[in-house]
Amino acid sequence: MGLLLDFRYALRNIAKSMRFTLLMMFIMVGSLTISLIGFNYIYTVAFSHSQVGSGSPEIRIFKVRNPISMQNRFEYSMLPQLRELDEVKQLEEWLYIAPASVWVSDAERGNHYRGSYVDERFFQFLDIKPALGRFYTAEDFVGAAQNVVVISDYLWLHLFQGSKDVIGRTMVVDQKSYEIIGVMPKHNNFPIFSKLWLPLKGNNTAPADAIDIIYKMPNEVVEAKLEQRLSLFFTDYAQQRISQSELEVDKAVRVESMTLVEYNTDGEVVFIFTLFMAGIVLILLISSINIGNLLFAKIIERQKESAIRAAIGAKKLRVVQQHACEGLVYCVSSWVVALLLTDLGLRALNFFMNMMFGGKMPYWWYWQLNTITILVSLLLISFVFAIAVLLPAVKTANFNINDVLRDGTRGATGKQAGLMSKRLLSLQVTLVSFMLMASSTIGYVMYSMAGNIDGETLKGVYSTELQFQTESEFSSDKAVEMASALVVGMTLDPAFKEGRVYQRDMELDVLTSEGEVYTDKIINIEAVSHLFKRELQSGRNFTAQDNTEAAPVVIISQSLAHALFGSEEVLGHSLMLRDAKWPSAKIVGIAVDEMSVVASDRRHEVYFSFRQYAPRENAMAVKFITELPPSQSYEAFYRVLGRLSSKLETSYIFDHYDNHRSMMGAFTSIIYVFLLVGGFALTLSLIGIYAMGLSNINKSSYEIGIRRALGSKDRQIMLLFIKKNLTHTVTGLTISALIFYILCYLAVDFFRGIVPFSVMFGAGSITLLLVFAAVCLALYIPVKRSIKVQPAVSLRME
Amino acid sequence: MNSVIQLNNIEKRFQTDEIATQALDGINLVVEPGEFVAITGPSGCGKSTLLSILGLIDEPSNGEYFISGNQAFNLSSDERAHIRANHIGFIFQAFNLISDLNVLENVMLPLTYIGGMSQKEMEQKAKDALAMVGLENRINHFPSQLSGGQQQRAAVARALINSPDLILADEPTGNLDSNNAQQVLGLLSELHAAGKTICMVTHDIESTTYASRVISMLDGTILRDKKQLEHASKVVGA
Repeated sequence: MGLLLDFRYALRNIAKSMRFTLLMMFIMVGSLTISLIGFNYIYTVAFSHSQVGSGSPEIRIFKVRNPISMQNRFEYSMLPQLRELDEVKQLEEWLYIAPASVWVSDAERGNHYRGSYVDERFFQFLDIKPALGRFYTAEDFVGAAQNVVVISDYLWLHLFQGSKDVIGRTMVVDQKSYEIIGVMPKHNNFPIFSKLWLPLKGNNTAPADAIDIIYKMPNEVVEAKLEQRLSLFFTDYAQQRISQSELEVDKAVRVESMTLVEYNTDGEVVFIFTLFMAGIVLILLISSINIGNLLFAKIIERQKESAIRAAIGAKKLRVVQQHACEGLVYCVSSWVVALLLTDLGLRALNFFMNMMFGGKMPYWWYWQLNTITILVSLLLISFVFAIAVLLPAVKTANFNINDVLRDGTRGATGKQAGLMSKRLLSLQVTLVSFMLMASSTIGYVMYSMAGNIDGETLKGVYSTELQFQTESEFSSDKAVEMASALVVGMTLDPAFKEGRVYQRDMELDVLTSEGEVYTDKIINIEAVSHLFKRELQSGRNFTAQDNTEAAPVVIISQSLAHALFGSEEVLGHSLMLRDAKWPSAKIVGIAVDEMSVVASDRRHEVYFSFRQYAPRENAMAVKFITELPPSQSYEAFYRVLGRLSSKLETSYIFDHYDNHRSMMGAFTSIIYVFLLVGGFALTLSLIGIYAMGLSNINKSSYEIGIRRALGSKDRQIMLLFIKKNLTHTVTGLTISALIFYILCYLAVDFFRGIVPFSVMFGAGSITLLLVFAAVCLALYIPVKRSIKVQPAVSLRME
Repeated sequence: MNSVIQLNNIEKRFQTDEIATQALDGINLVVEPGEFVAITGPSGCGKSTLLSILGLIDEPSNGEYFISGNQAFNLSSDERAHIRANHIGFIFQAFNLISDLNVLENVMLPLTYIGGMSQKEMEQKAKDALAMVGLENRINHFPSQLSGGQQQRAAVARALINSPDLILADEPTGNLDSNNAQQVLGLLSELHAAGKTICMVTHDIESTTYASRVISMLDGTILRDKKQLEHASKVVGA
């Protein structure tokens, strides 16, 4: 009965103070909606595709972290030994898939796509039903069976315009005809970037040696043992394939079991998700403090009423309940409105993302108000209720009835309440100014980096990786020969402006004249193929004579030459290296610094010749430049690649210009998001500060009346009250500034000098000043308003 | 018969920063059922503090307090609230009606804290109490729509609704003109005549004539405690 009465009273109060209600609703709805959209956005991006197939939520995949060699995947040739391992035998269900890059063409043009070779159990394992047609049967894997293929929803829509009669049609994959037998449903695309699935008929038809092993986790104990056993197995395998001189016994391969999401984010999804959630909780915390402070002020204004209730017999719980009821009405109504707005917001997000990225978006990027978001909304609103409603209600229920009834809202209780309110204000200012400083600095850094990037230099620049199909085919000599042939092929083909094959990840350290490892800037160290031609400042390019018979030679960039030798003549000097085999190499050429897309990220360069520093791993990088559109560039590259005597497998061809544009789009979006979120947080904070200022002024109206009656000038009163409130806001700003500057100082190393401390300090300080100005304004307005009231009116108000 | 109030050596000290004030200094007092006690004295003598302690809205620094024979010191906040809701009715100088509740809701408020009654029962009791003070036709009015006298009568109705053992009135006529003051004092006399125990703080000599016993205080002590017989004529006269 009492609860009903309290609700009725709460509704009456809410309706009576409509401006306050709207303000509360605005803050609650706004922060909750932003939080929910933010949560849904990141959850959809990071987690929503973790369940592939309705019946297989527990699918896991192995990630190989190999510090011994560059081999980071299992190999087909390992399978017989793997099958014999006891730990593997304990697995009821597991299978392997072979990722591949395939060339899909018709009579006029072609394009490369990521695909997967799978066995006949694959679709059943994932428990997926086809969107159209059928999946594989055992007959499809018989040697003489016709080539068949399952295509993705993306290919179906883009190559066949979503035509229902796609089943039975033919498509050419890697110059072979395949009959399309099925279409994969959009929301079950696995592996996530695969656009088509080809039958893995046996070793001889496998396109590459690398495979991924997926399995269903039986339990955590088995999984831990499996990880341990496979790590040992892989370490042995890797150690056997490198020479004894290179063997470092303390290095071991780590095989980790991951969910599909973890695999795609290299195990960092939880970190990224946590970071985003921390941001969301921070916004919610700011708004909760804000709401709490406003409710707190409102409760304090009504403290006399609470004292009357207590005097006529209301217990403490009942007083709390009466205030909580009002807060609960705010929370529930805000929660409902926020859910509706979130739904609308997610629909808009879908629309804009589709408009911007279309088919380039992963299939699972579909944002909708789902159960998890509703559950999170309940969690968040409970958090708001606890922090912003219950806490002030409980805190303010501890009053002395006698004091309040005699003294109104002033006296001891008023002072206590005021102190808490001001502390909350300090905390709020700390949080919001820190958040704004951080977001504005990140936004500024991203904006300047974007400004530094000369995207036009990337037009027509592509890169990919090459490897021999099997490890047994690979040898250093053969790699040098193939790389040279490829470069010659690209040089002779008019489609190419430039082409080079190189190997990075060379474990060499450049030493300074003092014998210390040079760490001032990142050095790109590459071994490059025959016919490597760089624009030189002085010296010469590599020649055929720079081979293993000759003394090691090196070309370095002019920036490195200056860094190591200053204005000295560099040619003929030796570059000192921390390497047992190659302690030094003679500098034969000084290259003009390679244009970097990010001016502030210009790196030093060191080049070796393949003929001297031959690839020791079955992996080489290719970079080529054309003036053709992407599809024709890919075609030209595959054409040259096809002429080689050995078949080399390529990974996805990376279009630098396209990537740059996507990156710039992402940069711009992130900057907008920071501006939006930061602006919203600041608005929330200013509303809170203004409301608190107003509340404090209202409470002090009698004092203002007395001071004015006694002859105080308006300016003196304004200064007095601004100073009173400013103490706590300045405390908040100081704390946030200290934390921010310390973090910036620590972050300098993390950015490796790309973002200097002065930039972060400057961006943060400007933001701090702006926040300070905004806070002063929010404090000034209520005081200004209060002095417009006649002293007599102020005195009567008491 | 048990006394309604028994105070044994009650002391109250206020300490603010460096200044200590002894508001009550060894008060011993027994109030029997059916008495109408007027507590009087100059400002700062401790009469309102004494009333606050009697009403359990403040705690003594020392001493014992029994209400209707039950110990009323060293109680928790909720236990004191329970006693206030069930055994005490308050009338304040400033009426202390809740401005956002109408007269009927204000009057039935104590019943909502006692619990155990339906809304209909509570409303009926509140209407009866309002009829007693002559406000039956003002039940849907809000406090701001009533005169001072009417507001105080509503406060009297609120003080009566839980059929308290003790009615405490703190300067009930302090904010009223003489006509309305007469009406309110008349009401209190009627309640006294009906057997209610009343303690009233006042510094209006005229008001004390309605009481059956007058306690005069000075500097936190009881200076004089006098029973008077003439009050009956006031009741008749009212």
